[in-house]
Parts: sequence; C-alpha cells; structure tokens
Amino acid sequence: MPGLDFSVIPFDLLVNIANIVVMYVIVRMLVYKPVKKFIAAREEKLNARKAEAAEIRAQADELLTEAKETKAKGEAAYDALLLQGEEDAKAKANEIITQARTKEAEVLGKADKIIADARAEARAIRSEAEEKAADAEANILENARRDVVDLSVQIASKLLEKNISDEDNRRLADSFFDQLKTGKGELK
Amino acid sequence: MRAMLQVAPGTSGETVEKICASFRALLDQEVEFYVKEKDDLIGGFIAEVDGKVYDNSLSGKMQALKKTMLGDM
Repeated sequence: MPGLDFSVIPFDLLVNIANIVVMYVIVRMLVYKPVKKFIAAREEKLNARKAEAAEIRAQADELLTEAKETKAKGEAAYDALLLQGEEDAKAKANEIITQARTKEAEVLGKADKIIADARAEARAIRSEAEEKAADAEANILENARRDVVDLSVQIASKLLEKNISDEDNRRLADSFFDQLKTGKGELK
Repeated sequence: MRAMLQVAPGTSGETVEKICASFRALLDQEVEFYVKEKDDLIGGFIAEVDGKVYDNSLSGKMQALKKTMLGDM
C-alpha cells in the first residue's frame, strides 16, 4: 500500500480500533487472566487428580498383586489341606480296612475253632454212641447166650425129670461113692 | 451123729437105705439120717453130714454144666 493517505481514514474506524484495543485490554485483564488462572488451577487440580489417581492405581495394583499372592497362597494352602485331608482320609480308611481285616480273621478263626470243636465233639459223641451200641450188642448177645443155656438146661432138666428111674438114682449114688473112695468126689 | 438126706422123687426106700449105709461106711460112724424128698433135685441126692454138704443131685450137675457152658463160651 504505497502512499497511504491518513487524512482520509474515517473516525469511526479509529474509534472501532480503539474500542477493540480497549476491549482487548479489558478482556485480557478481566477475562483472560482469571480464565487463565482458572484454567491453570484446573489444570493443576487435574494434574493433582491424575497424580492421585496414579497413586491410587499404583496402590490398587499393589493390592491386586497382594491379593493375587494371598489368593495363590490360599489356594496352595487349600490344596495342601485337601491333599493332607485326602492322605489322612486314606490313612484312616486303610486303618479301618486293616482293623476290619484283623477282626474278620479273628472272627473266622473263632468260627473255625467252633466248627473244629463241634466236629471233635460230634466225633466223640459218635465214638461214644458206637461204643455204647457195641456194648449194647454185646449185652444182648450175652443175654441171648445165657437165655439159650438156661433154656437148654431147663429142657434137659424137664426131660430128665420125666425119665429118671430109681435104678438111675441108685447108679448115681454108686458112682458118687466110688468117686469119693478114689478121692475124686465133689463136695459142695 | 445126725444128718440130713434129700432125695429126688421116685427114689425107693431100698436106694435110700443103701445111700445111708454107704455114708456110714465112708464116715465109719453111726449116723442117723433125716430123709426128705425134694422135687427139684430131678435125680440123685444131697446129703449134709457133719457140716459138710455132699451134692450128688442132677439139678446140681445141671447147674455145674450151665456154669461151665456160660464160662467157656
């Protein structure tokens, strides 16, 4: 713009420009600085909040890590307890099974003994019964023998009774005295 | 001396007398016999003289036989 003619510059324009400058100054002084201050404060606050948040986050991370560690420890302890419990349970079960087997063997042993005793008793009873049967048989045979002898003697006696004569009596007497004389006689 | 003589039924007086005479001769003593008939003698006699018993009866012999048979079997 070579050769500007300032005499033709309008007054309104100058007023406007001055207005603008005044406005600028006023705004700068009344608005810009407070706002800037406000913004700065907010920014500071924000940064503080950010720092706080970061700190909280760090704490949270720390707590999370700690919680994870605790959880891991807890799980490990739980697993260990489970394992121990399982082992204890197994040991207890084995103990119970062993006791049951011992008891079973004891009961079976007693049962075997009872059976053996019963068999021995049965054998003894059978032997005694066989012995008694043999004795009874022997007694019966002996009694039968005696009966046969008794009957035979009775029959012989009856027959003799009917057939003995005086002559026979005399011969008996003669035979008796002959034996006495020769020393063979019998005395009652 | 007194003695007892038991005879079987059917024994005659003669036989009884002979028996008594035989005892007297055997003992060489005078013996007075009390004679009695006993049914279960079957035959022969039993005499009790001076505390001794002389069994010549058939029943006695049968008992002896019975004893022998029972003892031997």
